[in-house]
Amino acid sequence: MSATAETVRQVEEATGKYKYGFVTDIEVDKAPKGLNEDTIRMISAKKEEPEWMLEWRLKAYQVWLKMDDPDWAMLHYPPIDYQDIHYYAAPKMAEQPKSLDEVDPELLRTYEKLGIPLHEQEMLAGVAVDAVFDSVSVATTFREKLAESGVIFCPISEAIRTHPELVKAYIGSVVPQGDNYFAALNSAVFTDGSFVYIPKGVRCPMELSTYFRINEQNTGQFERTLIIAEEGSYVSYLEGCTAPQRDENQLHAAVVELVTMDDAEIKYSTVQNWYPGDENGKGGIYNFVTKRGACRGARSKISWTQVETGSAITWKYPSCILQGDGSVGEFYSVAVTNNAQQADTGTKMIHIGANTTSTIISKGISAGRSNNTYRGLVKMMPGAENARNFTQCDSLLVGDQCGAHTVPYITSRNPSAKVEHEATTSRISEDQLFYCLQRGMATEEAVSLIVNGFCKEVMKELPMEFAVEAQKLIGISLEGSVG
Amino acid sequence: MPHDVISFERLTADASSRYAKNGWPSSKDEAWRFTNINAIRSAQFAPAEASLEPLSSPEDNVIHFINGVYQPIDNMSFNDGIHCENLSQNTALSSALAAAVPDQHKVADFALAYARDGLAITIDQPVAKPLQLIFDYSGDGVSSHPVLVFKIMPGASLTILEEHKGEGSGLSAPLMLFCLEEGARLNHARRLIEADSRYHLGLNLVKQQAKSVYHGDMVMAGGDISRSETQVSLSEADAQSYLNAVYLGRDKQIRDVTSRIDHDAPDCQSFQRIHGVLDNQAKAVFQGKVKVERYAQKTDGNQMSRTLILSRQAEANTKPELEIYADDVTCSHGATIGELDDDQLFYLMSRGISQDAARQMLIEAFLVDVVDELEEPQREWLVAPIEQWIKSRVTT
Repeated sequence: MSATAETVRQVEEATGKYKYGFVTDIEVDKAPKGLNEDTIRMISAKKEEPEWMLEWRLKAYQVWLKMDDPDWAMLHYPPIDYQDIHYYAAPKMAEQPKSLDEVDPELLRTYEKLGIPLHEQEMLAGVAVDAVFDSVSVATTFREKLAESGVIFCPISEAIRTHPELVKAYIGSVVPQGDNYFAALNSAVFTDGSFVYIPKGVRCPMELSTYFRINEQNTGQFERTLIIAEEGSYVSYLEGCTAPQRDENQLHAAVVELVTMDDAEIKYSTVQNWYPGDENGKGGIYNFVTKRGACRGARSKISWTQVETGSAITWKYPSCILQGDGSVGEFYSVAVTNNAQQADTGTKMIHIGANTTSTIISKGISAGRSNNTYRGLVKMMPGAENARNFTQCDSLLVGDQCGAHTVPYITSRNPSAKVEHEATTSRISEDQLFYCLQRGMATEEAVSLIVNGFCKEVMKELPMEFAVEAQKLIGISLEGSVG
Repeated sequence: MPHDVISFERLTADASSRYAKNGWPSSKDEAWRFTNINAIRSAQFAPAEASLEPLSSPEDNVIHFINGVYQPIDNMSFNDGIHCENLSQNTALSSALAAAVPDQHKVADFALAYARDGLAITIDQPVAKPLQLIFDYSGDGVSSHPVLVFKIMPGASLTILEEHKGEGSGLSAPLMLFCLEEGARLNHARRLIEADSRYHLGLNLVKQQAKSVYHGDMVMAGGDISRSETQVSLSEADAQSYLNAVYLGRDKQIRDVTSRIDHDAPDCQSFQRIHGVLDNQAKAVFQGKVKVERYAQKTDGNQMSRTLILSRQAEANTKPELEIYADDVTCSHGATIGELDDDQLFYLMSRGISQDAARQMLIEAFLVDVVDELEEPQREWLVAPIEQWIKSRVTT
């Protein structure tokens, strides 16, 4: 990199502007605005889906029509006009590229700019990437290498064609079509996303990753991810997201379903950095996401780690259904809101099996005029013999114009189950700040350091490559919030 | 704060039309999602028609209510500093009540819609002898609607012992407002020991001005479905509020302790401790919300709820909620749900105490802990129903 480019990058980073706000100028194939059965038929046809998939989508659409927009979250936004959105947008490609060499160079450049080089030789060793651009997956790397060990990692649209038996058996089994308003919408119009299948006894040889990018104007992104870990298998999966800087709000309504069988483990990490809107709250992504994992097998484990710094609105509750005896659910979350951002996020831990355990560590940081809510549910069912839950949610307020809220729901129907919940709300301690300042640190640097310390318990759960990026992101998100 | 002048008559008429329009709460109302009161709705109550004969020798500082109707005021006798009149004759306090009733509160509207009159009680100096409020209920299918408004003047103080008891299958819906002026203090001990066939839906509103102290302590032991809701607003600096509660549930009883504390001014403190025990198929909820407004800096808000489950069929729900808009605050909540601690049980049994006795000791210690630091006579008065409940549990 030349010296000037390096300087520009440094300046950009220091001023804390949203780095990923550029637009890729590329020819696209778009569905007309609006949502009706024809839109769904068109998406299904574009994806060359079998009849059962189309029927499944249409059923979801019928359910969605009868549902109401949820209003219980502490979020305020004007009603979304679902007819003003393009439900399908794809970069024009002659046909599905067979290798990276066939992928439009403009797209490859986009991902390079985002810090995600798709050319395998340039990549950090050991991470396979599925890159989703608006409504389609443009490239999935390391597929052959993964296939050697029996791991299937491909776009879900491809899996529907090539592994229909697996998709049919699991899709909607964790998040049914009618689960909630946004899940129903997603079920009707989902376009792409990743499909992962780890066979029995296989420890996935590398980290899998999906990178979501919204590029096109007036589009929504509706991806669907399905990960199945068979008995005794393990996979670590990373998810990243960005979008261009625009004045209007864009909708992102994703569904992620995880299934673990006996002794299997899925570690799912997210760094969510959708465009958050400008200082005045203009623009930004509306992020309405349903993520849920089912620990079906005994001693299986699902671990959610999320760092939420982007989006104008975040509505997201990654959950675990602990069915198998001795299964384990974990939720580690850092949610940072600044300016006019609003986040209502948390988790649900449903303990069904005996000896199930769950841990919830949530750190909310509010700055600017933002509102940050932790909303969680811990439920011990009658069969949850000796189950354990520990929840800790801490909120940090930076400035006196923001809000931090905690809304936990706890239900226990088994006396041998133990539930413990702790929550605190405080601000950055003057002493800590003073200590850093008198050692010559700038205020913003000190705040970033203290906040990262506040989040340490969560950060250490992230895979290494992500942890570094996440730390930087938190610093950037908070810039301009003090002094 | 000046209010619109609203007579008691207009207040009840307004509530009545709101009740006619909005009706009874359902599990779709967020505040009622854990407590199903369909059983009460379907019972079709009629408001009590009782009138009370004057007592031959009234005790000082004791007010009797039968099905919510009080003894004639000229038959009451009070220490200096307590002034009591009909609420219908005190428009200042009926207006204060009208202003304090929360919007869209279906139980408040129900309570007021059928209230015939209430008491307006003003305390203008420290009163040493506790004021006893004895609510006695009887009869089937009768609903009782006592309404009381207290005004504790600057520097005045009072201790209230409030008791709800009685038989039958009626519903009691007491509504009370406590206005604490600057530096006022109120110790408010309550015991709900109605028969297990009864229903109780109580609402207490507390408005606190600068440097006032409200100390509310409750033991909820009776009733088939019992709900006690307390809403506190700390509207001036340096006010303190304590809400302590013990609830005891067995058979198929429902227990509901709901609280809301609004920190509307800086430097206020609120402390809540809620301990509950559930046996058989009892079901309980504690839902407590603490809201701290932007200008309520230096707020200290603490809340701790602990539930002990003794049976496989019991169900405990907790929803502690924080809504915070000020940054220089210390707010925390904690919640635990579980059974008796095995280590503690083992410790006692290793010293030769039988398992049953050890369990009983631990349950009692867990509950009494909440009220143990109170002064007499409140402490003893609140411990008695706890001991009574534990004893009856062993014998049945």
